[in-house]
Amino acid sequence: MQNENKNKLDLIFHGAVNATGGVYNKVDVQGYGKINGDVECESLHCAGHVSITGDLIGSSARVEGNASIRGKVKMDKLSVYGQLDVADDLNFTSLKVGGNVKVQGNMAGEDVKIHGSLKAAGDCEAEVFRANGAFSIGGLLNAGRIEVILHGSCEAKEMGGEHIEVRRTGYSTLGKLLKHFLNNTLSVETIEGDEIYLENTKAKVVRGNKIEIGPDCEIDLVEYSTECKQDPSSQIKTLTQR
Amino acid sequence: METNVISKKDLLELTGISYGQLYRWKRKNLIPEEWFIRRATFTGQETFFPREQILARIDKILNMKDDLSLDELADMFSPSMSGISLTADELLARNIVSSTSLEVFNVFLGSLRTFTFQQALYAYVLEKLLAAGDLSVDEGGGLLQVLASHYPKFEGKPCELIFMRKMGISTFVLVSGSTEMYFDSGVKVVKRLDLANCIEELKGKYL
Repeated sequence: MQNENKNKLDLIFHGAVNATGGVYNKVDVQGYGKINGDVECESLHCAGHVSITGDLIGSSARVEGNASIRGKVKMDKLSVYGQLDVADDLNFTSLKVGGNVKVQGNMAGEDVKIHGSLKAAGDCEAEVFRANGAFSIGGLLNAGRIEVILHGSCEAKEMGGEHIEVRRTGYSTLGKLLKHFLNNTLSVETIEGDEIYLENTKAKVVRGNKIEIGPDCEIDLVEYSTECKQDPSSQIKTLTQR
Repeated sequence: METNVISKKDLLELTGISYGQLYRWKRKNLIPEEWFIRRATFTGQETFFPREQILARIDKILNMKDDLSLDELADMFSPSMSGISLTADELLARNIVSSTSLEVFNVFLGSLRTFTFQQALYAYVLEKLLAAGDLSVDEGGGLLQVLASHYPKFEGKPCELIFMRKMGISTFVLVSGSTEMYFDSGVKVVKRLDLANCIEELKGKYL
């Protein structure tokens, strides 16, 4: 089961296996694996089901099946096509969400790409946050560049950054039929940024330098400093320049 | 409205920075999470900051951001101990300690050739108090003893050093950040030092 490879061991699961944590070169789960303790590895690949009772640290991970980690996760490159549950904080350099990611703590990294769905209970920090799916952030979504294309309902408590852009999708034929059943909106309490463009957004407060409120938004208060445009289909209760 | 806090809006107006900059600095840990105080107001939730601290910090960032990268600035502001070490001569050359304080340090903690960042911090605190005339040379031993044996327990968390005297007898206390303390009327608090500030100053001299 374990082959000596250079100095570190590989940990390969076929079938149902219990293993202990430790330092590994490669962890490959094809069946059902349970790892007790912290795991440090070069790469992790999970095509089956893996649960780790401690922290997971490594340079790259690809989850095609189901992974649940009871501790913190620190991964340089993390792609999830199945499901990943993290009970603590998640740190990464690049994160690709094709499936479903749930984080109970805070998440921080450089680059986030979402095509599936992301749920974080705490804050989410990144330099670039691109979402083409659904997300729910319990705290602050803070990114240099936030680009959202709305699929399904997205929500965050607060959003902040330099450039924030929220657009709806072009409707397909099926989408047009289901338009009234699908709730493709972004709900957020406050949005603050330098340049903001919004569509289909419900917010209490939007503050920034240059703000453009596109179609179908409902915003209680907009505060801008240089420029503000508004689409006639959007409602703004109060608009002030500071 | 209390005067010791400042709302985010007022802060941006006063300093002329943008939301983007503020969020970027927060991401880079130039502004600690604890300073973001969220409070309910009539417009919903608003964020406030401790006025003095945030203004001083933004002033520093604006002054130094041309010379240092944001990551270098973050290192400087972080209260964690950096892995740098210096020799006694370098400490003297960079005016971190005077030769008098160094002698006092040597008497109580032994003569060292190289100083870790932590040891340099102890020497720096000693130097600060001695130079201000708050501390006598004999009292230096008590100070160094409390720092050397208890400061590592804070593991980089914010803490404060309180130096007090009662009836001529000096006492040093290390407390974790923002604890309220009250003394009897015979106690004279000579000096309260925020060690996070000391670290920042010391790192400033290092760089």
